[in-house]
Amino acid sequence: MIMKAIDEKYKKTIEILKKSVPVSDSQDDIEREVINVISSLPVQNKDNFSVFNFLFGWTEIVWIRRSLIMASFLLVAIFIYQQSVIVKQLNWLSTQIVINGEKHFNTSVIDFSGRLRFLKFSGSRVHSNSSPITDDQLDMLIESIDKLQKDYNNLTRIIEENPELKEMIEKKLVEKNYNKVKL
Amino acid sequence: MIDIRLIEECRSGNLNNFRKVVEASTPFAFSVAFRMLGDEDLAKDIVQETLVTVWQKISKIKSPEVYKTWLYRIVLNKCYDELRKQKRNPEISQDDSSWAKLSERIADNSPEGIGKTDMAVIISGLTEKLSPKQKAVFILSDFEDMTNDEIAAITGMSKLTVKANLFYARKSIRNMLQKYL
Repeated sequence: MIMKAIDEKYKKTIEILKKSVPVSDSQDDIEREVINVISSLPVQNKDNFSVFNFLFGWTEIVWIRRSLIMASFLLVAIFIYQQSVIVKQLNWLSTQIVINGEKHFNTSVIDFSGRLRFLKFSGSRVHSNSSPITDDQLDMLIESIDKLQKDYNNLTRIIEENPELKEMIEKKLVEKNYNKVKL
Repeated sequence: MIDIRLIEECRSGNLNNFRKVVEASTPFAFSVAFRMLGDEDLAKDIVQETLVTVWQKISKIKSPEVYKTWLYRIVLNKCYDELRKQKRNPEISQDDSSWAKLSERIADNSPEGIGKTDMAVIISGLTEKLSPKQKAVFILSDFEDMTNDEIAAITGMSKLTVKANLFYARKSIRNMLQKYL
């Protein structure tokens, strides 16, 4: 019952408001004002306008605008993804340098100090079991290896220059069964 | 009704024909603007701005047939901007005498309408809980007799959204009627 009364009131209210069409008292003023404003507007150069329209008119098309917005979001997302992949790859590469360095460190004795220097300058950290070796310790190691290499070269040169000494040492090496050592 | 040939000629920059378009467009543009804003001076400004925009952009409309939809859309967009400004400085003054007049008309079953000032007070009271878009959907549907398809084309909403907004608006207005009458 109450609902019916409200519906009735609603219908009548809408009917009354619909009948009361608002009409401006100053319609002529509005029209005059509009024409005045339009007349005072600068005349558009039709040729320039059409060229501009031809070049950039497509920006007014809603579906193109929306597509471009979507595309820009997509490009930003791809850019962020690529950046994260590149950072990941760089991190992976830096760990690879350490692994390769350690491999050379373990398997080769030729230019040992050079490899150590490479490890130092490449920024890789050399690990001794679990604790990293400091730069000072690495410098000391490189220095001692250089000294050792120098002494070894001197010794080899002395032995090479003296065939008797060389023969004697070779004989001793055979006696002691140090077959792997070659002069 | 606006002659489509007039619109077509205005698109090529004929100012004399545009005078006739202005004359034909002003009443219904004013009607919507006034019902949306409830203020004659503001509605007048909105109509003037709208018609200047129409002149500046009439060459861009796809076809003269969509002129009316396009005109309503410009009016509504300008009304939304105005309502947004008013939201920052709300000026709702409810006058009991306007509601008394409406009650009288309803009781008497009078076929007469009511004055602009009373109408402004009543519409602003009834739609005070509605968003500008809901208000626009309600005004276009119940006062301007537009179909949901036409409203969807004007407001840019889907037909379903128009229906939902209209349902909510009518429900809210029923509640407001209970409050005021």
